[in-house]
Amino acid sequence: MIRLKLITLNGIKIDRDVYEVMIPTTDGEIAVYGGHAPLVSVLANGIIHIRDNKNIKDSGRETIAAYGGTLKVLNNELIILADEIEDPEHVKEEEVEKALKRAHELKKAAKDKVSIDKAQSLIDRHTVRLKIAGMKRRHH
Amino acid sequence: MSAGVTSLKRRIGSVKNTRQITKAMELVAASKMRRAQEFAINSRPFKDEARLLIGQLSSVSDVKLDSLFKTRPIKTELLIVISSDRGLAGAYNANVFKSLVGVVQENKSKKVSTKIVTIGRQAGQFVAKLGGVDHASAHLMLGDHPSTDTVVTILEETIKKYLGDEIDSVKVVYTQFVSSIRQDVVANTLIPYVIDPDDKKTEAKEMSPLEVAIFEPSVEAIIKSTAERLIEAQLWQALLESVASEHSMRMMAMKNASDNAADIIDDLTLELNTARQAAITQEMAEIIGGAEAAVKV
Repeated sequence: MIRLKLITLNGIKIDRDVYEVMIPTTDGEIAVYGGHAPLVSVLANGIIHIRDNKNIKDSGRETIAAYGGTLKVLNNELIILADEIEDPEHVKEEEVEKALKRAHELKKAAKDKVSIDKAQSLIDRHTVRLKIAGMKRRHH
Repeated sequence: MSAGVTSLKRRIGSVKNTRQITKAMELVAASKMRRAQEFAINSRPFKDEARLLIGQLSSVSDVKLDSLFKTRPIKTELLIVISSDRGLAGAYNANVFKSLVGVVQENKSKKVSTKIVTIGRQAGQFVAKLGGVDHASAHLMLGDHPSTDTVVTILEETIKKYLGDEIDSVKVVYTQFVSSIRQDVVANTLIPYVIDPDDKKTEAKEMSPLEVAIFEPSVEAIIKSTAERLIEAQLWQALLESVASEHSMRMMAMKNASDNAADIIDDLTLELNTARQAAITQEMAEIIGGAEAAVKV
């Protein structure tokens, strides 16, 4: 077991002992269990999966969409400083599809590098949301 | 005589109306304060953890700190001043401006030129009249909950200027929310980010494990991505603290106004009663006088 603390600017969202946490980092997805070596890494846009105990199946994991941040593992404590998180319950598939289409159009229309970057980050974000919405549909 | 009674009645009526308004404003401010306070307190853990992390990272051996952490001789200083859009908040804005003028004067005596970025309409208007400083940009608070957009725009511009050597130090002048009845104006250095001795202390007992930690992708990359975040969080926190202070000071100001209105109403009512009684006495004296005169005839 490992202590998980998920902290955003809106407060401490999660503070409890868990069995396994899957985290998207800029260097790829990692899984953190109890007794993990000290680690500091950068959070990417993606989905965090939390398994409270060994017997929970993949479909029973808690999922949270996260958009960037930092994470630290030290003394059997995993601290995730997330820039922004989203509860998958609030993600509607049709809306996200529309938003993703809009973001692609925005990127096509973009002229300078700044607006291309902005559109790309929107695309990345909505891709994550679409994934999380699809996951929800399969499991329910 | 009855003219005096009528005008007193009218005055009581108008003070009562005023009290109704101040009372309503007090209640509105109270509920906004509770929300703002919650926001301010909720975002504290993030700031604390981020600071701790930076402190721990900075003492990992052979780490090259980002330039956002290095102090250099100060020639130009940027002040970010946070006030409210609207007035009627007691001494809230006046306190901020007093502290701002203090910092500007101190800079003047040290031959440091001052640039100012204002957040909130009141500060914008004050700095525009101040003179002797460079009013770089003005932003509005817009609404009761500050938007992250303001923070991001201001900081993007500020960090660019700092890294381009246009400014050598950034301070935030804002009101720290201590409790509903106590708020202090502080001027905190935002950039360069100084790792304070408190952080060092905590890290002394916790540092050894992080010395052998894995860093992905690299310490430098982590510091780079965390540093801007941390500075953003600091400014964000300052905004939230300011909003919480604004509402609690407005609440207190409106409470005082309501109490004062109640006192005035009491005084006026007393005066009204005296005047009314005097009028009655006078009328009776006239009637009695008239009757006596009739009897004599």
